[in-house]
Amino acid sequence: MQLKITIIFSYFCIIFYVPHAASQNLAFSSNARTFETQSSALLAKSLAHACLSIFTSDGLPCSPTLSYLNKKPELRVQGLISNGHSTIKNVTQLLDNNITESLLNDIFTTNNVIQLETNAELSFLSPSFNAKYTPFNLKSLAVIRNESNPDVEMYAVQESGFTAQGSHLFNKNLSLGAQIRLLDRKFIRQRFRLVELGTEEGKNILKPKKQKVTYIEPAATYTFNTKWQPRATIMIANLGFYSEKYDELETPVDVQVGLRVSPPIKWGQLEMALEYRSMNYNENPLEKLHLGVLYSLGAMNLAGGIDSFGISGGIYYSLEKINAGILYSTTRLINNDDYYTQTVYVQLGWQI
Amino acid sequence: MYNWAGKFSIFIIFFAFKCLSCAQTSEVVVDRDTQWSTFKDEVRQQIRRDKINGVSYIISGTIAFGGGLVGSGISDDEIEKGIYTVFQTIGVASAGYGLYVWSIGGIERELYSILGNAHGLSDIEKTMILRSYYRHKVQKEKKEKWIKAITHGLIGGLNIYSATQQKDDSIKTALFFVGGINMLATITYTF
Repeated sequence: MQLKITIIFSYFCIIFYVPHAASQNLAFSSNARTFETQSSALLAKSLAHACLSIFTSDGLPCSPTLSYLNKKPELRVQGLISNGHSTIKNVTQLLDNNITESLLNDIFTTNNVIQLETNAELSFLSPSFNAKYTPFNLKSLAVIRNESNPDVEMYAVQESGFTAQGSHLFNKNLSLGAQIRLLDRKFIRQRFRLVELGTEEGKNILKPKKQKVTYIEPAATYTFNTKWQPRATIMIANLGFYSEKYDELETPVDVQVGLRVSPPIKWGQLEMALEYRSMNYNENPLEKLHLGVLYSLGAMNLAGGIDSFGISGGIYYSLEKINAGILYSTTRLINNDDYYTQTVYVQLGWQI
Repeated sequence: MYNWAGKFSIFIIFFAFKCLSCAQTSEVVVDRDTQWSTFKDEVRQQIRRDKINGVSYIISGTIAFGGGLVGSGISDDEIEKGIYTVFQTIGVASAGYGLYVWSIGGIERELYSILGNAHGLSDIEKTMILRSYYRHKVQKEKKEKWIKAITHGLIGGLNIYSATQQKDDSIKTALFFVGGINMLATITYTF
């Protein structure tokens, strides 16, 4: 049994890591679970974003068509924060275009990898309609190479907005729904040498850009009435309107497909999902595969995920009014030099 | 004072009514056609389900408490330590909740215990008591629905009014959001 698990795990490692290893020399490090234009709660990150067909109880489901699995209406406030939180003030100052020499020293001379994700949200969940207000969602990654002539690649994105989801269940098997996202975004996404910031042309390198986006994303889910309850979901993401389009932050339309099975077990519930979706719109087709496993028992949800960006494992507890979770992720397995990221996320929520 | 009243009353009213949603979820159905014999069988199955659910919560609570203790000791980051402390709290609460579900359960188990020990009553009389309970439950749910509709309507109105008086954009939007959700809840409870 252990040999079988080792062989299967090695097989997935080869699928996810070989194509990525081939391209790693051309790319700066990424973060395993934080992406410029993706917003997700703790369980979705733990599952390596293989969540389209898995109902995650810590926020809005990844697919609007899973709303019917919400047991009762609830209103909750929730926050997520990752390591690197000491840079929140610096990154928000950068995005407010309030750039000083001491700020640049703080950001670009202390560590060679700086990463951060933090957000707060107020969400309403019910069996047919979900809504979320995110007043603050901040993500950042900066990688600085070459000490003698520092070369920086970075992004910093701050978003606020609304998400609304609605769906209807037909015949207990087919659910059709849609999601609307209204986002107000300001961002910096640049690659430059540190010395350029001292030049006249370089003054605008770190000038933040603004964008308002409206996405309308339809989805469909079908659940089969067999022992393992297979479920398939398809969603068309990023269909929308932009106030201004920028080449450095493109979000092309993405057709996402998720498959999930739940083998019957005596204690708790086990779900395994395989998903095909893009996270940063630069992957080859094999790199768009994500595998996630979720085990739920009582108040506990234990989740793990693997994809071409890295590996993650998290635990989330939810009991009536309070919920809390912690997630560990790493790119260390695929990134053999010093520019890897290891990230810890914590999430805390209160049902009001 | 009006602005502050809007901000705090939402929390007071929510906490006052939070127990309206604290009821156990049971799969036993009591309706106008319930018979004592079928009700007994369903409750016995529910007792088995409650045992598995209850033990699940106790196990997961124990893991949360133990994991929280270990994690809090190992971790250096203050925020991580804080979350592990929350895990310990949830762990103890979860174990308590599991014990409650296993040993006490919902109101249907209580009814089963009361009627099961009433040896002077015939099966027909027990059936009549169950159907009377059903009629009482329907009346109670109708009243609860109206109270919730009015309460959510008032909270929604209060939050929307507070939003119009608020200068900070983020708080204003959050108050409009909460107000809108409560208005939606009012419509849901009304129809």
